[in-house]
Amino acid sequence: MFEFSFYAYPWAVITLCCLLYVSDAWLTIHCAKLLDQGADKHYKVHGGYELTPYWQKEVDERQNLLFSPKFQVALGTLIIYLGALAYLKSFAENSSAPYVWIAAEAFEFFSGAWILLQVQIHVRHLSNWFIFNTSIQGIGIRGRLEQSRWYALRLSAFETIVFGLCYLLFWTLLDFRIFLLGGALGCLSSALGQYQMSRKHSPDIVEETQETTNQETLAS
Amino acid sequence: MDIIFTKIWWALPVFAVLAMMEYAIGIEHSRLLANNPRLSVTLPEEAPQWRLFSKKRLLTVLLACVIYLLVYFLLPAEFFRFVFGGHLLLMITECLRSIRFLFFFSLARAGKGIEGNLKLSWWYVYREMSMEHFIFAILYLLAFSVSRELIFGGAAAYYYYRAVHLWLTSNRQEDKPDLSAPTEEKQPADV
Repeated sequence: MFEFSFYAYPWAVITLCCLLYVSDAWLTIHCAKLLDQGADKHYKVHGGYELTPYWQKEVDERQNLLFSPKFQVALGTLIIYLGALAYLKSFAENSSAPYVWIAAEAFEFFSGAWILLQVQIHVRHLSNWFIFNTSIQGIGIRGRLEQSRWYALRLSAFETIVFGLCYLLFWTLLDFRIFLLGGALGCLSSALGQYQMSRKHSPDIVEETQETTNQETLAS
Repeated sequence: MDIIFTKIWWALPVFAVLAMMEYAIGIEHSRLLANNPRLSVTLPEEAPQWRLFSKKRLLTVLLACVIYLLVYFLLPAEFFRFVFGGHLLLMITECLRSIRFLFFFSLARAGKGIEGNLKLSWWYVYREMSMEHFIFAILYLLAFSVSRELIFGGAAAYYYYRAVHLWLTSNRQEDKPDLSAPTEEKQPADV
């Protein structure tokens, strides 16, 4: 009963992955700019908006990620990686060699991990977009909340775990599709990464220095 | 998954427990907020004094169980899968999502990583909840269109219903701001 018809078209899956990545990059910069436009009157995250150290410098400088060479390389890598897995899948489907099923399932697993992690990231972006927009206009909100970087990372890790658990539940309930398992493990590994990063920070609210940020970027 | 839809006497207690759990988490939220010395997220009115095993709540859950029992025996299996499965999925998702607020408020109470004072109007609270429900309605609709699994369709329908209900509730709030006014005047009447 439970089927993913779009897996008959691997290039559609790759296109979806790329669109989600582009949209993620655009929303990240857009929400960070909303903070500059006045949302930080009500919400302040110490240590910058972006949580992933790899992109932190670009986001802190409010660069347009979509046209940055770094993003183009990352997007190209994603296409090549998923394209190679899609090729392996089509190769494996026509082969009777042992263990070849692993290659056949790898595409669904990794694309599931990517798509379902991006779903979680988009939910957070859209939620932030609403909160920041209403904050700028001062509609229905007064006062200010400040979060330390430790807290932002812990909260994000926790939300990601929740999504991972949802996907894991769907996986057990819905015919054990490898797509959902990929999403669950993708979310859980991302949450673990964020939890590990949070351990490098103090829970106290202090202004993070550029030095701290640079150290984290190097460490990653 | 089929065990839920074929063994109704197992499924209904699961449903009842989830319904009570969703309510219990809501009560815990208000308790943590009410006794929080470091974080003040003030709502314009006092939160109602909820009780977990109130007569009204127990009757509501019981009534829902009876309705689903009738649907199970009288209507096609696909329809039951759609309405009951969708409702179950919505409650599982909401319970998991609500736990993040327990985490959020507990850390604040312990004075870890977050502090401040935020005043929210009811209008804002309902609008934000409505917006999040719309997002989940779209997500489940996408999941349904990809997988053709009826419980995703049911969950999308429930989320959409709740989102519209919350949106309309936000419009009825007395502190609803005048959105047609210039930006600097867009303050709720009584936050």
